[in-house]
Amino acid sequence: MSVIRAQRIVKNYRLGEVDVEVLKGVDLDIDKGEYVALMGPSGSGKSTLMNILGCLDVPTSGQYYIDQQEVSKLTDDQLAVVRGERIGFVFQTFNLLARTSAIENVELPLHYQGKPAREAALKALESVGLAHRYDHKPNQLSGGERQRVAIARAIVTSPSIILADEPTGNLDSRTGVEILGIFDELSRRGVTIVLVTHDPTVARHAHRVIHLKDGRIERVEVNDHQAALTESP
Amino acid sequence: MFFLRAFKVALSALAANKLRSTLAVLGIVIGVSAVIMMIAMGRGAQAKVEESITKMGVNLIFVYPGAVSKGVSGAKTATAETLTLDNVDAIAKLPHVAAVAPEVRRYYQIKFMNHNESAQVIGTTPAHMPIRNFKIDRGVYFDKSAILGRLRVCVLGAGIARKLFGPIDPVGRMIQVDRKNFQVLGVLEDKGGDSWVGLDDSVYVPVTTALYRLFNRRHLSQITISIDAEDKIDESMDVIESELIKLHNIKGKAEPDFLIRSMNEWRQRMQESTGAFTMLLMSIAAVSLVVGGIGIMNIMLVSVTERTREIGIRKAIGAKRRDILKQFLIESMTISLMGGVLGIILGVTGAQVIPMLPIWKAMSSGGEWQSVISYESIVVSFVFSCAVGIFFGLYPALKASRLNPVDALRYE
Repeated sequence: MSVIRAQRIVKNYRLGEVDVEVLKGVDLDIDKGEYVALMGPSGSGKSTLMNILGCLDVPTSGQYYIDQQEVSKLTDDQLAVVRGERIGFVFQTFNLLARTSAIENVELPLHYQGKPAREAALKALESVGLAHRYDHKPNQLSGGERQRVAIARAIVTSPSIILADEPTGNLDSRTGVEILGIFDELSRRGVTIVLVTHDPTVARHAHRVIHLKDGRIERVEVNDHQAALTESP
Repeated sequence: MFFLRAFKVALSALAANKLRSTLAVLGIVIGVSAVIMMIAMGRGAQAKVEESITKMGVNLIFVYPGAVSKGVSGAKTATAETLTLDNVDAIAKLPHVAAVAPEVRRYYQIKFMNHNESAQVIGTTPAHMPIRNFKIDRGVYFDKSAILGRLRVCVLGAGIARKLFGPIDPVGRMIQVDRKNFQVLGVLEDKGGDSWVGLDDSVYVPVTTALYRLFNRRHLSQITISIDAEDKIDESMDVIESELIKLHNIKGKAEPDFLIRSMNEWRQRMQESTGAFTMLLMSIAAVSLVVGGIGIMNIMLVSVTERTREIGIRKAIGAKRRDILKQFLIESMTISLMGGVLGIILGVTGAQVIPMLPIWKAMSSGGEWQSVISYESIVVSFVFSCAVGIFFGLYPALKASRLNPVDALRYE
């Protein structure tokens, strides 16, 4: 059963007087529990696709379904609800709220849904191995720890899918490997993950690698997953 | 729970920029305290006017000489010389008239030993004392025989007695008015704060003495009448007016040569002018509150721009427009609430301290002008400051809530 189904997604941006077609008809199906990497050179449209998949933006045309629900025509606030309940974001720059403790950052998505938060947030922090630092502010944490908090925030709502945009881009390689290990673990537990990267070694962690070029899917690779894991440094 | 958390978030956001937040709060503090102080001052002025009117006596009707034309020009340049002691006697016989007192006034140099003071000499009758609500402090008031005999006796207002005699008891001593000797029979009780009427600083002499032995004239400056019931004042005014028209031989449509006013009219006029004064003070203060509101808007706009990324993050993890709107509105309201509370404290304190300052005493011409703090003014300015927070916080908050999450997340 597909968690994500995108059909003929087109996205145009207006730059001054000209319309630029960034996505030129992308079809994509991602099944529950899949771990997919999205690769492509800059300008290939992978960030735009990522924004649409994450419901931060809507396509100019085409249909997009999450859990069989069409979301390409929703209003701002309806999209906010979909983001809150079904999508977990992990960003390259962590995007934690400064001045706010780790646990409060993790609780935030649940607050916006009006759900009890403290226990779930502690559990999420625990699963990324950071329960002992729950009351630290982001500036008291290392880069790797911040990204773990961000992952905890992404998984705390038990979303249908986790979208990670270059999650290791701002980390040194050892910490990067640790973070990728967390994603591997989440994947083993059945969480659906879409990871945007330009790094082939990162992409090798995924079951499937989708290469974008000039707003279209150029090719799709299927990784022998076991081989990919043993090869990784 | 939601509000507690939102309030906490707002406080921590404001604490991140202490100086800026403090300045925005200060703007509201100044506005709110100014409104409270100005209302208190205005109310104080009103209370003061009320008080002095009550001291002057209530249920009063005044008759003044009117303006008349003399000579060929036809311009009304002179004062009518038609109010006489006979008029006073006639008015005394009218219904509902409790007492009538004639008044004839002029300024003279008053001398006691080597003390010289300029003071108003008022020629009147003993009826003046109950009408004007005076009580005798020492000695006695002159009586009817003094009026019949045109005696050179006088009663001193407390103010002039103090100025001329200092610690000496004036009763039985002689003063000179226009180089004529007058014996002091008594001193009136100090009414205080009547500087604009000057009754405390006047010398009272029998009306006949004043007319025939001092001023050398026949007409009065004023007739003061007290009426036995407040609801009969308007009726009595009409009766007195028609009586005087008859006595003065005014025919047909000719204008009367006198003016008739009641204390109520005076009171209304005074209330109108002090009310206008209060409104003026208050509107000036309200302007400063609006300026404070603009200050809030300014820092909220800066804050929204600075925190674009935070807004993007919040939207990405599920914040709806109204969540962001609420967050920023609560923040601007927190500023205005803090400003409101501090402003009330400052305003109430200031309203009590300012009347004690020497400069204020000088400005209010020595009178005991107290400020009156009303609960309404506190409630009104508090509500108004909250409204300012919402009103001026709304635009920045709307701007924040409408940010596009993609752009907001990309913002550096």
